[in-house]
Amino acid sequence: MAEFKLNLEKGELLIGGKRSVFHCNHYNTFLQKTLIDAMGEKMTVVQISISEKINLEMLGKVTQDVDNKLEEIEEIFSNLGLGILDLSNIEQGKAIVDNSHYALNCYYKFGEQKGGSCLFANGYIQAAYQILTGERKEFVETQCVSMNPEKFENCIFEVKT
Amino acid sequence: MIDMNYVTQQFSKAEINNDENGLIPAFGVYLTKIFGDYYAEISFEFEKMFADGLDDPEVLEAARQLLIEAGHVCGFNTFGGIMKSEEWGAVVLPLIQEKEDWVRGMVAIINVLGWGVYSIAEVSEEKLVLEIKNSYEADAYLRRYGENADHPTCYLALGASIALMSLVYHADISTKPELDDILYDRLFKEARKYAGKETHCMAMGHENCKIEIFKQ
Repeated sequence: MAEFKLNLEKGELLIGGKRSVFHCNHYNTFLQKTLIDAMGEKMTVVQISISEKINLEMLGKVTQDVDNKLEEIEEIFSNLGLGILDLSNIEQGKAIVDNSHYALNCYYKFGEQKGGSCLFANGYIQAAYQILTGERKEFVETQCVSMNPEKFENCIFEVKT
Repeated sequence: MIDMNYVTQQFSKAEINNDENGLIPAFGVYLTKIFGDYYAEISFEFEKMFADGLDDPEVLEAARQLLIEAGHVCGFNTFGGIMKSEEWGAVVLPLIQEKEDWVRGMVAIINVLGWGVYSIAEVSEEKLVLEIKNSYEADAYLRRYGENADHPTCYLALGASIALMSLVYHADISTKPELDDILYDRLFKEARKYAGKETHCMAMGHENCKIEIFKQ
């Protein structure tokens, strides 16, 4: 299983050759919302696409010599602190996230959201799909806990048709 | 004066990992270990889109202020949570001899967050001068664009450093105040006392980044 390595000399926390940084739910959700409030939906697309690019590089490297890539990718998602990712139906174009960090915190900080809040997860799932199937597809968050936590138990991502 | 290296070493041993829910609850907040490039690249892209090709310094400054404000939110909640935590009470509090040690202790802990290597050149209630080696924001800029920036790029570092001084000297974090919207608004809006600037930045070609925070 891929591990985070802290290098105090350089002030770096590394996984798969990528620098990770600790940030809190307040910063994550505030930054995401600020960018969208200022620039509209195009910043949603930008955030998903940058997440996909960065995760594709990292996951590609980390899973290179791993037999069970799917399990590794699910595990890393939790290690990042983003919730529980279920990729068991990824080949059918569906992924589920339980306890989504972004969804829960967007809801608690800003109330009910009109659309999906899990932009980093969306990009991560697109990268995972590409690694697991060899094809690139765009996913849409069709259900997000932040839209109505009483109605939705988890966040669902499906291939865009 | 507090031994910053000792504090860094102690906190580097802390296991800050996810629980069975895939979340990382710590210091009264939920942490993530997302990639520095992600935060930096969405910020730089935002800055570029916001200015929309305009060479208007006021528009650019407005975009940068939003990113610096995100740094206030980060510092206020994460640093505030850490300085009120049991871990702080056990490791750092017994070493504190003067107010400035609150700043030194927190900066020592920043060095386990993956943000780069922070050191203090000067600290008092009036002023904080921080030097940062290998800032993740400047590092990301250089790798993304392959050339030097014409402006400093460490928005998170600047915003969070202003928050640190505000927490220690304005909010008096030693009294463990509630980290709520009322306090946030007092520190950063209504009765703001601290401002700052990044005077040197690795992204601009300087060897290290340098941030100065001062009392207004």
